[in-house]
Amino acid sequence: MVNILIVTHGDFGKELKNSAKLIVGDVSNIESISYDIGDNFKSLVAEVEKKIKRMSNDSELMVFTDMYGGSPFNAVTRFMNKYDFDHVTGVNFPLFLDIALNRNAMNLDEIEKNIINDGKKSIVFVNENLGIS
Amino acid sequence: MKKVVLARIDERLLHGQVVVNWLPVYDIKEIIIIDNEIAEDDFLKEITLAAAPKSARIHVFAENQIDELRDLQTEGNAIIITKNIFVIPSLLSNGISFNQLNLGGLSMIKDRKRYLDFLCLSNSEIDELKEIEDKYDVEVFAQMIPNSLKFDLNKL
Repeated sequence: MVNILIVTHGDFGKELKNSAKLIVGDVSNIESISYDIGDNFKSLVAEVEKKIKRMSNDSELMVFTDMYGGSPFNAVTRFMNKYDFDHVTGVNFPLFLDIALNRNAMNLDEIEKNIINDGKKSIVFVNENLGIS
Repeated sequence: MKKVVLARIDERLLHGQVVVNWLPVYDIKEIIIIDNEIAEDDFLKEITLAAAPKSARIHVFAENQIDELRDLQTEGNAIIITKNIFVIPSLLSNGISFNQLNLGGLSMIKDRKRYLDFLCLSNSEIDELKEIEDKYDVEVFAQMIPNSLKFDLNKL
């Protein structure tokens, strides 16, 4: 099973996990870190390292962050040459669900090949899609 | 190093809020980051430089590289970002001038007190800011993003 860590501004990541539970059921080995205004950046970096170190230790790890260049993104990216894990930013609900559903059957390699690119297609302009002006 | 339109104190340095909100308002084309930790770590420097938005160039300097910074060739408006208030007087007294110093984010550590939800300052930092305002005619204000509540130094 691939472990999942979500690091986001505010409780976005925490709620992503809660919402996913309604659909996926099993949210074991999924953890989140919420970064709030006024929180110390160094503490965020320390907490991120602690979780990444533990969660990548005996299992594959996928880390999601909310936005390229944001503080959660920066805190996670700094450890990409120190620990072995995948990092996807700009996480949304469909992508998160897809990976949460498949992490038993697939390893990171297969997730990289099959799921991440599909995730990019999950943002749909419905008016255009349905031909409604 | 010309046309520094804004200097910003932010312990998170360059991040989403800054890119999305401050760069467009000041039409920033050059982002100068002054930070020893980033400057001295090759990997951190690499990922910081990679975070450049399409609209601007990023440069990273250590705190003792003010001469190099002053000699930097720039095109268009520049923003200087650092987490260390005590770097600011060295810039101003070494030929790098700007009129606005924005306090954007410092968290609670050591002997700081909390003034706003995004801003904590120690007494020595406050004294330094007051001196910057008086000695160099720089407007010092706390504001998280443009159009959010703005606080002059004396209103904190």
